[in-house]
Amino acid sequence: MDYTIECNDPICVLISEIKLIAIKTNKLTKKYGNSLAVNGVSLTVNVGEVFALLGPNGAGKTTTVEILEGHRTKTSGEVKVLGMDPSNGSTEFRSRVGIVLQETGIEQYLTAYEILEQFTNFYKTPRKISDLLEMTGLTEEKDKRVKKLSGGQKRRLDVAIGLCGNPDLLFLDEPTTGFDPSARRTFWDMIKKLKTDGTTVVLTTHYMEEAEYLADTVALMNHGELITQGSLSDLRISHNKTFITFKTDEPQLQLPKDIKEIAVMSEGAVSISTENPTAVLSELTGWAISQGIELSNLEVSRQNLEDIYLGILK
Amino acid sequence: MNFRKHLPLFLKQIIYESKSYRRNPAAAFFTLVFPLLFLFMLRIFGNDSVEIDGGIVSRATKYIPMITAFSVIGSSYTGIAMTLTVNRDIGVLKRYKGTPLPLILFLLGKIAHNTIVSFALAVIIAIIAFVVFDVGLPTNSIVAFLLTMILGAATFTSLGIAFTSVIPNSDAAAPMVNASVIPLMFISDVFIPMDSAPNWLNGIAQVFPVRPFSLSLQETYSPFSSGLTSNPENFAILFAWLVVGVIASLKFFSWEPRT
Repeated sequence: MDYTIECNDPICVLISEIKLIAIKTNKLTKKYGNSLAVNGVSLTVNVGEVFALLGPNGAGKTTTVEILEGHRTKTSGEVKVLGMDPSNGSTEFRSRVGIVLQETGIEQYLTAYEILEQFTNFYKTPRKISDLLEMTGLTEEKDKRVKKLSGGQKRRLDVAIGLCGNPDLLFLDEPTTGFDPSARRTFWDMIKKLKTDGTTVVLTTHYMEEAEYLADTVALMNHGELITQGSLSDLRISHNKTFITFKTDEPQLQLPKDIKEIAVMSEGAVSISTENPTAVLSELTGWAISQGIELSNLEVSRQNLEDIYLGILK
Repeated sequence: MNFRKHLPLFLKQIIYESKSYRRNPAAAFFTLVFPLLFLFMLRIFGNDSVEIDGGIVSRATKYIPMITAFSVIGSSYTGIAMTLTVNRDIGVLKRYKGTPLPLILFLLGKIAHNTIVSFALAVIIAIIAFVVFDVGLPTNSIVAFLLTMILGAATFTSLGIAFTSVIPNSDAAAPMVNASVIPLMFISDVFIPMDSAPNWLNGIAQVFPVRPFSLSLQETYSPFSSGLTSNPENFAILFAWLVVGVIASLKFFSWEPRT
């Protein structure tokens, strides 16, 4: 979905800002004692998108998200979530936001159905319990007590609870940690479905493939700072490296001088990363043919998000 | 705060509290074990006569209200402080915080449910006392009994909620909660009759809510008393502590682990 509107009239700009921006922070900062957990983070989340916040442990992702959720207060800076200040904890704010926390604490002795029944009571326009169960694949487990649910099922119940109020904005803090690959794929499909229903999703994750599969926009944090933010394709353009790799048995391979400068050799594998793959590849293959060398396992690959991530953090 | 609008939600909260409580039979059972153990001890020591204000009664008549006070405080004050701390540590409370459920409704639901449980406990003890020890039911001052129970349970629950704000984590909950109330019970006519205790000690105990609660209950069981109470001061002290408990709960309650 594309929400961009060409518009120069100031009123029109104002309206589009209000309608189309779910979250906006400006120089958001959180201090614990002397340490800066979040340091001047300015980010924008558009309505209807899946926004992934990435970063290593301790990067400040959870603190940032908890400020957006209204669970933490900021030290300084500006925050607007759905046009409101989340730290007020107003009923309207809580009614429009769904929160799935990192840790799962649910009353142990109620059934999945009863838990959802209880939480839907809190909202004016809740989702139907049967829909919640179906969306999260818990229909068959609905009469099981929470105590008896598996880890993955509890996590899905977590998400179902987050969706009880039919939120405009859903926060998911590392939702698939500990999932097996097939459970993860099912979960991803559920998030995609939510997105097509118009829900804005803010996701923190360690899994690059998760962000790659789900996110429209990714933001990368490290040491409390926002390193970069953009759509995946923007990131790819700004970190536009291509990998050329091949194997060789020759320990003293004499590559052409300009290729040698950008090549890394280890354990019989050569890896070249370049922003001009066409020229490099042409030179490399020309050289190999003239030398009569076979470039076994020759591979040309685009950087995936993980490469970009690791490259930026280096 | 619109009470009419929130009443259905309040009632539903009580229902879920109660469902959750009943599904954990061990917890429910052990709330009853201690009073039963006390009654058993009473049986062993024999049920001779003791003197109370106004005349001579059986030892059981003297001790049953004290046992009731002990159980009610255990299930309201101690019980709520411990469950809340555990629920706070494992993130149950933080989840509620993220929803539109108002804090006051969440707390009132807990207080109401605990009052009901305490009341049920008191009734069970009264029935056992009646059947096994021939202790008269507190029928000649039933209104006083109801009032004492409701006021007592609500006061101790609200104080239990307020006390969680100084408990750092669930490991510390049991020792801290017990340390805060058991010494008080020793000087407050709960374990030992304090008729012959020095005045200054009773004076100290009277500042806190345990003694007024135990004395009020004893009065309701006494065959020589009638009407609401001859010591309205006891109700006043309990009520003052209820106000303290509610205000402190609303002000200092934390939905999240403290460390």
